[in-house]
Amino acid sequence: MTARALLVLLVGVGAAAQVPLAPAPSVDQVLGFLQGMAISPELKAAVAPVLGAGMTTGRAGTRVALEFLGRLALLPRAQAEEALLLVHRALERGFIVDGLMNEVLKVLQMGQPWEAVMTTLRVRFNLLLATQQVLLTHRVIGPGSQAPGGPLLEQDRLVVETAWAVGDWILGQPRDTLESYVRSRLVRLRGSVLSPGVVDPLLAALTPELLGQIASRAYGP
Amino acid sequence: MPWDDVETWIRRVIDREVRAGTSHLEGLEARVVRRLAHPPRRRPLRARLREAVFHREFRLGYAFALGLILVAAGFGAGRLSVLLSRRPMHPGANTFTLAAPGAREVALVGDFSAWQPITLFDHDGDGVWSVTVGLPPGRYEYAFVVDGRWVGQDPLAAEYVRTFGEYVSVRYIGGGGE
Repeated sequence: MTARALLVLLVGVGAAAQVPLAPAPSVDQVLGFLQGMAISPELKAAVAPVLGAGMTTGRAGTRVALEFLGRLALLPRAQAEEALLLVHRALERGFIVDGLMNEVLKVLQMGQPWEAVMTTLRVRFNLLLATQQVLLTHRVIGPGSQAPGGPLLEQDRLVVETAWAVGDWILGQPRDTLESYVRSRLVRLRGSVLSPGVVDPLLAALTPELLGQIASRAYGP
Repeated sequence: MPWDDVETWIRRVIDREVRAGTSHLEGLEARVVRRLAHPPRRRPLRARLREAVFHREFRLGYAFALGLILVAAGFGAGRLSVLLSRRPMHPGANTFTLAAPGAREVALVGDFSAWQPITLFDHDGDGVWSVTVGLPPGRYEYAFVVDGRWVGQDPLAAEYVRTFGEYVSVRYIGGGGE
């Protein structure tokens, strides 16, 4: 390392000094941890390439993935496999899964029982599927890649944020109507997480009927 | 070309070069004396700084020392931002503050840290605990854990989300949520 590179590195560290989050692990570290888990070899073999592709394309953050697997490793094998399988299914369809993994970590951190973890995980997963289908039907989004290795599109983030808003409304039962709750969430994300070009068509198309379709698909027969 | 002609031509060229060189030497002594009597003005600070920064030959020791000073300054600024956080906070800021007098340990958990605890500090013992976390624009869910107890409703949060009877706070950074 040259002296100038060292100087630039140190200046960068100095400028970023607040409370730094732990450095994100590498994809190989996460996949290495997965291989060491006491779960079925078949599930490992199925999850590894999908998770690897998802981390490479930005659908799964390495930090949250490693924490998620770390928590699962402390659980009974059946529970770990149950949660991992659901995340795998979501990733296989090209969804961003950081939220799903974080949801598991959050509910466990709250000290909730395993049934609560899986309930919230299933609710979120069903909402992801339903939101994608309904937004596709209303032509708010295009088909996208729908695979973990395809390029990550901004509309993928829109699906997650919309599904999460509907899920928070259903699980939290706030006083707002579903439409005003979801609209308010999306407006707040406009310009930071979601670009206007992606979120504005949904804001224009957002109606109680559209959201009702998402909810009924997620919870219907 | 005959050899005699070549020799003549060579001599002529050498003669011309010598004459041309001599003209540059005329008055050389006087110029040297003048420069010694009136040394050139010191180069401007900007030019000297530019040379110092972009000079090819960096000394590793100096670079490292300068780097350490900058790192220390950066951490100092970070600590300062924690102390300043007791002022009313901008909702989009990434400083997390909680009044928890008498608490022994206060931690922040959130989706930005994969729900792993980040320790808050109460530097002057007044019961106000703070930490500043570097976060890019986005929507963040978080809660405090005070002596092992979940405290999900931050008075400074933009909104709350309830899950299984417990709350988490939400903060927006950047965009329309700022």
